[in-house]
Amino acid sequence: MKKRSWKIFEEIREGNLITFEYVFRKYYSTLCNYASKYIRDLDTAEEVVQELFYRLWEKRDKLNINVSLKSYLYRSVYNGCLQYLNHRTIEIKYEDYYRKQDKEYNDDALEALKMQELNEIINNTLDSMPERCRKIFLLNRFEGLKYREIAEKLSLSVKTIEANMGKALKLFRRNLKNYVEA
Amino acid sequence: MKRYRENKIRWGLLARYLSGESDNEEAGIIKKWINSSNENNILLKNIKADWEKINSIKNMKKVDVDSAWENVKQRILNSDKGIIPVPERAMVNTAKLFLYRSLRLAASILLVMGLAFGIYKVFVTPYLDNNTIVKSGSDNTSRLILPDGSQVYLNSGTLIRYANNFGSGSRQLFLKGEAYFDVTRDNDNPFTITTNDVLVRVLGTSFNINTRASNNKTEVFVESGNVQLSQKDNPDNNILIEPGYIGALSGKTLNKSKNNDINYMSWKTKYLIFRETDLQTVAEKLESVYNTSITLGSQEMANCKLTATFNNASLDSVLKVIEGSFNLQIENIVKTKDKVIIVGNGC
Repeated sequence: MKKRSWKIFEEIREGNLITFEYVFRKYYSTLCNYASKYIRDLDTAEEVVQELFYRLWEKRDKLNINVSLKSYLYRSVYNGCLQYLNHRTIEIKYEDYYRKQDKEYNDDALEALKMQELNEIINNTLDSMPERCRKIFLLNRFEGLKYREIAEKLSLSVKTIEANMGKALKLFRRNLKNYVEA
Repeated sequence: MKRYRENKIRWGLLARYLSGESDNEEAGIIKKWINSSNENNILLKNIKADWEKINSIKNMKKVDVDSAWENVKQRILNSDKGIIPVPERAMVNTAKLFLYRSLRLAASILLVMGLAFGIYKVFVTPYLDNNTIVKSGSDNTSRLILPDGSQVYLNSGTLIRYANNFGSGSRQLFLKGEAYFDVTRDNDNPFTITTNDVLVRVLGTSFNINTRASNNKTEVFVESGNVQLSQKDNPDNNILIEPGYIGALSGKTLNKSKNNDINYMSWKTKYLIFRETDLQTVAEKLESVYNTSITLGSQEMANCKLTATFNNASLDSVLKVIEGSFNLQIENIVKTKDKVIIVGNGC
């Protein structure tokens, strides 16, 4: 389900809750991780991100966004974090504060956008794999199981595990080729 | 393994190696393969990097997306705004049920209101003046709900006038000053606002009208929906203004332009955003939002750049931030109360 930004905005503006849910599910996790760089507590970071999405929906008919959906969301989360921190840091030197934060924003946002992109590539690659291949790969890379353990768990031969891991590796290489780190 | 050919990439073997499943013999084969060509060497480096990237995703903090979405969805479905404009096809079943119940409730409320209004109209109206005039104070904004349910926020020093039978057959009012309208939709009953120079006609939408824009022209800024703006003396001369645009009459020409002022609605929202904004512009904005007069002590000061966000802050606290940012001295002339002088050497 790939959609262009403007199409997504258009559908959200029209009140399409399904498109909105699609956007939410796509970005929620990385946005929370991004917010938790500013707000140490992950629960609060989640609250900030949820609030952002709620408000986004609430004012959807007034949306006038000229940037990409991604940058819009990251900018909003950043602002949301600042606002949250603002409530707790009154009476400080605003200029220094904002300058510092603005510089940090540029660095962190770039980092987060890269992370988002990477996350997308990896998830898309996982999605494009045959079911068995994906299962094997996840068990090995994400749950740390040995080939033999996976073979036993799935009642397959170690050779099959090896072949599927190779297939996964090849797919990742193909898809990550275009992802360039700055 | 001995039948290994140079040009064919053996992904299975490489995956074993990266996963730490290879024994010494296999590791030896891999080393040989790497050394056999620069291309192979680079490839191995790349796939090692891929492996690390996958690991970095794995290390992301886990959040429960399902329950988070459930939270947000519930909030959306519970708020009025989430329900009414949502096309049915985009809604889940519970939402449909909720919509149905809301509509049923709304219908019964409307019925009661309608009866009350009918009684009011027949028995009470004849004994009242023909016009209602509402005026806001010189230094505060106010909000009012019109008989048709439309909301109006009046900026300071603003007057509106409407007939007492407003809502029956027509919805017309006169405006002087600045106001924001959130008009209840009624296709059979257009909402019309008259100012000194223009006529604004809508069905249901939200927009801001300022009759005190430069040269005392009327300016209309549309937030949502469409607004028809016409010359008062010649209603055939009209244009349609879309969200995000400002329409105005200049001579006999109606024109519209995109609104670039992020703080256009600050008088109502009390939300101000400055990003590297020069102090001159900041001062002008503060003057209109806080209905005060601000004088900058020196020319250099006008070029100081302020970056700050204020949400419903008092003028005092805004000034404090400016003072803190630039080490200026601010002299608030208390005697007149509506005048601020910012003294300092600039940045």
